[in-house]
Amino acid sequence: MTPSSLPAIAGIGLRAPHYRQVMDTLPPLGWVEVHSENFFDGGMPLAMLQQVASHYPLSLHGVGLGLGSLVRPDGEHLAALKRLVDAIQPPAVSEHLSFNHSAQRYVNDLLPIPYTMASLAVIASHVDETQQALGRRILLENLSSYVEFPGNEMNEGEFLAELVARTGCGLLLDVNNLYVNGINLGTDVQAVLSALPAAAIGEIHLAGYSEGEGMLVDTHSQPVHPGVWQLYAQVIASIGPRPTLIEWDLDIPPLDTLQAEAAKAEAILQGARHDA
Amino acid sequence: MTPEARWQAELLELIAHTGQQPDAALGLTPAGLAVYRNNYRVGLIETLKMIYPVTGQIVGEEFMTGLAREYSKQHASYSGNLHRYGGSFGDFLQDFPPAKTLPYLADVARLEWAVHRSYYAIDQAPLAASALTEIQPEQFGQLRFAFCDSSRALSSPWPVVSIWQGHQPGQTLNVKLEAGGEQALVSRHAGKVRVQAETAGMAALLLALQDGQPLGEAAEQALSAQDDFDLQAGLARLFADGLLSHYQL
Repeated sequence: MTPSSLPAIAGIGLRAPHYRQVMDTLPPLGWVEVHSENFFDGGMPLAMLQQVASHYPLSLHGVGLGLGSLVRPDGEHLAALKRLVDAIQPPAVSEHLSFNHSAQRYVNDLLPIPYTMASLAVIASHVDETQQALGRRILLENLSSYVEFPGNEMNEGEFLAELVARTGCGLLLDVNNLYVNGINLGTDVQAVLSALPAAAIGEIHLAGYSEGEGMLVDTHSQPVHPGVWQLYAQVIASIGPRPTLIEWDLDIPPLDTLQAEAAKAEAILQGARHDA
Repeated sequence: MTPEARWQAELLELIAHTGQQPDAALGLTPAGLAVYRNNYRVGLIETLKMIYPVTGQIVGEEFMTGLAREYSKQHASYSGNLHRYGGSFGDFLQDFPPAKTLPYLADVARLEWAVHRSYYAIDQAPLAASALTEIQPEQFGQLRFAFCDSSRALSSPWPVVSIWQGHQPGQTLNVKLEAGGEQALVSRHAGKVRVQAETAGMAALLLALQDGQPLGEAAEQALSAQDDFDLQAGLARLFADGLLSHYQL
């Protein structure tokens, strides 16, 4: 069983500034991904997404479920996600391995979880609950983080590998996230990569960071950086071609800039197909 | 609570409350925490600016940022879906002293929230007039209706519909504030949100039904709000415009 049925080619994140152009001109895009929450409930957003899905393989990427929160997932959020998944029936559904709420409040961000055995048990149950509610396997994405739980018992790759083993979920490997963690937190990038079960990786993300005060910030506001391309090429050479997404969420450039970035990824994927 | 759950809860509080200093045991670097604090504040402010573009045009970019910042300090997010944040911004403006010089601002914001919710509202099959053929005529007066999530009526002592329409792209603003209040109906047609001003009679009918009052009482209020209100035509519009989702007897 493959973790996603997206084609192993390059795609782009479809964002609001490009909706009109894409629907009017139907440019050649390998596949597209959208943020699930922007299409929750109904109306014009949902109708447009159904049209998009009739022209392109579509991936639904959640940013708000926060299933790494050590309190129960929000039933209302999960129900809205289920309605969307049922309406679209996309080839891939993904979420982040992150948390965003406690019993008291939400912070609408992707916050890093404690990588311990105690949180593993709780978060595995949340992944189970989500997969059961949706009636399908989901992909979980590794995170860019700026702080760490001081009592971590394993690295993020080992934690994700355990989740795959316990829940049967797939993985979405964000190469940029891994790269910035290497710089910001001193994460051993190769150790995380080697812990990930390659067969479970159903999708890859690429994006550009910006430089903040003493930190690389995962803003998705730049072209993919050379170091990230290098790491991506290494990953593809090692695990083979995978569906690969160019994400751009801030200072969004013209569509052809995204297509040019996707073409770079496509060239690397093409090389791996030849080698195979 | 496990140490892991406590760490999560404390990190959330520290991100939302910029003044608090983290306990060293949490292992948070100042630079790392600053990234999350900035994301949090900017994210909520940008969300409010997106939901309330007319309010933003009225007060200007800089003042809007200030209003949104203050609101975000007082109001936590309660959902992982940011499209649900900011529903009480109108109430906040009503009570916020620096906004008092623009007394209509709160109602403009309430109208914008109704527009925002209408745009994203779930798709529902509108109630057809034919669904009522089984009802005995003498029971009509006891009928209660639920509005579609995309439909909402609002009443204001200010000309909020004219103000809102005058700030739409390509429109020019021509509003006399002393002209008095307007009643707004927000509804959705083929995905597009429509905002229109209603007569006193139609508005009274809509507001009473929205409030859950039975049709008989709503009709009485409509007729007392406007002597020449055409009740027949008003009732027909509820169905023709697809404003209702179901009825209850």
